[in-house]
Amino acid sequence: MFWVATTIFLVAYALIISEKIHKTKVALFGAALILITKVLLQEEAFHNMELGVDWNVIFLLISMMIIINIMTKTGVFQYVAIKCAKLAKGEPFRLMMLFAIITAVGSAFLDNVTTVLLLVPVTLFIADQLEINPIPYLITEAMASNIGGTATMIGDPPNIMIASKAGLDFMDFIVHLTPAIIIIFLFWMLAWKIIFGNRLHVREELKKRVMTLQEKEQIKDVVLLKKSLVVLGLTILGFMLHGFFHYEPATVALMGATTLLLISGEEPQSILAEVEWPTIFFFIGLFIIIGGIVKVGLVADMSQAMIAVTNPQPENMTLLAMVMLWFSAISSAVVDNIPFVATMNPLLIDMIHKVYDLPPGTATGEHIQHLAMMPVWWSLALGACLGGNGSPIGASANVIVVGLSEKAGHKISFGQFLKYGIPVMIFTVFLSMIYVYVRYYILKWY
Amino acid sequence: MDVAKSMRTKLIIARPDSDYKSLLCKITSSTPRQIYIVDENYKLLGIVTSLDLLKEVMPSYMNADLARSLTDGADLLQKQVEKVKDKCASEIMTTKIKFLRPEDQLFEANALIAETGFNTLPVLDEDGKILGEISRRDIMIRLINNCTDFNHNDETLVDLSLL
Repeated sequence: MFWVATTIFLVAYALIISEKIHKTKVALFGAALILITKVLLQEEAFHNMELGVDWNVIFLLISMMIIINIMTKTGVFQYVAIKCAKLAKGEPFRLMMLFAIITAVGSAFLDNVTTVLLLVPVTLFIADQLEINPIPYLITEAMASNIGGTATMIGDPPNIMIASKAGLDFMDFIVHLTPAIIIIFLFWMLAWKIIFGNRLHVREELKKRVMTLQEKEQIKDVVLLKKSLVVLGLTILGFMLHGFFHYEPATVALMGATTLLLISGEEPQSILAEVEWPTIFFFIGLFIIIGGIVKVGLVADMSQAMIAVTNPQPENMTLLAMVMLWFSAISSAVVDNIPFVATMNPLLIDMIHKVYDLPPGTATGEHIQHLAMMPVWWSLALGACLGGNGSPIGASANVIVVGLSEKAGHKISFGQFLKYGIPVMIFTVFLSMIYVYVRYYILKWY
Repeated sequence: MDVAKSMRTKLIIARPDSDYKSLLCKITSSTPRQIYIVDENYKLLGIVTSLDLLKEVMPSYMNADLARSLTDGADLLQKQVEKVKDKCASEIMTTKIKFLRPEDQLFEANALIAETGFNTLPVLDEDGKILGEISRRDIMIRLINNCTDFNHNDETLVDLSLL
């Protein structure tokens, strides 16, 4: 059984990285193999919290997708983008900063792909109006999306998975990751000012042209916009309070999504059809494959190796946190960060059992959220999300941006993205390292 | 009622190296709404429709909502025409083609048009050579001709500028 599960896992990983076959097909077929070979029983795959599908992640993702699908119909994102272009008065660097900010904020609360899908067309449009090269703006947006998505529990799928596995709530992410991301974002913008500040120029008459754009034309349905904003606001409030009221985040999100679906007047067929089912089924397949390698003991072997390298102690895991940060970042630049975090989560749980000398399956919040362990979880989240900036295939948002840009006649080559991506990844992960080290190991501000 | 009897054989034909400007002029000079791109033996290589030509002068990111935010989009359209004017037919044409055979029934043509939403379908022989085309209008005219009690009235156009 060990070699069956290990082979399925390794082949699936290799196929996902190679992108020869769609990752959802690979994950689902791998999951079916895990079940048919009885590595995992169906009962375990569907109903076991340790080994099976994490339904909390699945329902949180589906619910947020429903809310976003309804909101996109209102045209609010396009409105905000054009408004920003006018606020920037057509000044090219100010425009770049404002677009980065709205992308980062959008990605912190919505999913990254949707945010860039909505903003890239407006960016291309504004760039055409100003007769400037849109490529620096588009790369900036992809990066802002990955950086902003790191800030909250719902911003990026790795965070949702980590929150569910480690039992962390929305406010934990706000307290621990949001400050890190604000600092990183500010430094990044400073670096961008040095790089792009004097390189972007726009003729005065073209700036005036941007000021004549009619942003109000973008809002298609004011009533639906009001309903969506109220429900999104209440859902975020619900996330902030879910730990206090002992609700799982998926419950809060499902309440928001179904309320909006009920009051929006939209047909469920079209809204539900627009849910990114391939992503959802990718998660389901992946959870089952990972459950298989947890059950046969491969994850336990991997955690043993990690312990040997980083020597974590019950009260101090500094080296583990630092290694985790860089390892996650480099891995996520090469592999999709979702399978990476799906593998690391059970590995860390197994490691906790070994470090605190607990019988298998008995770790509770006391150990999983131990003060020594918390910086490791945050390092995993920071590394996995920020690592996505490292290459054009490191994050879904990058793939979308590169694709839309090429379609519009502005090809972003692999090398061109790397030229910005690698330095930004190293820079932001380095800042994260300083943040984690100073906050948790010098100031001891847990 | 087979397709061969109803098809029109006067078509707009162009070579794969014809440029955007010439395609635009050809399509507006006559009633048909699509241009057949053929090789020297009249074998069909692709089709350029009026929609294809209009889409070419729209940037890929543009949609009706963004267009509405522009107070004056005339120069944007002109700029796009300048950009694509030298593009040739082989870059613009659609190569996935739904077609009819001359021996097909008109009913089949109607079903294929209803299914695909295309306005006009080419009629090809077994070697892929173009013989003619059938449009929605051709089928409707045939329906009227077959029903003697339908009153075919030419005076249907109302000139609103005279009101």
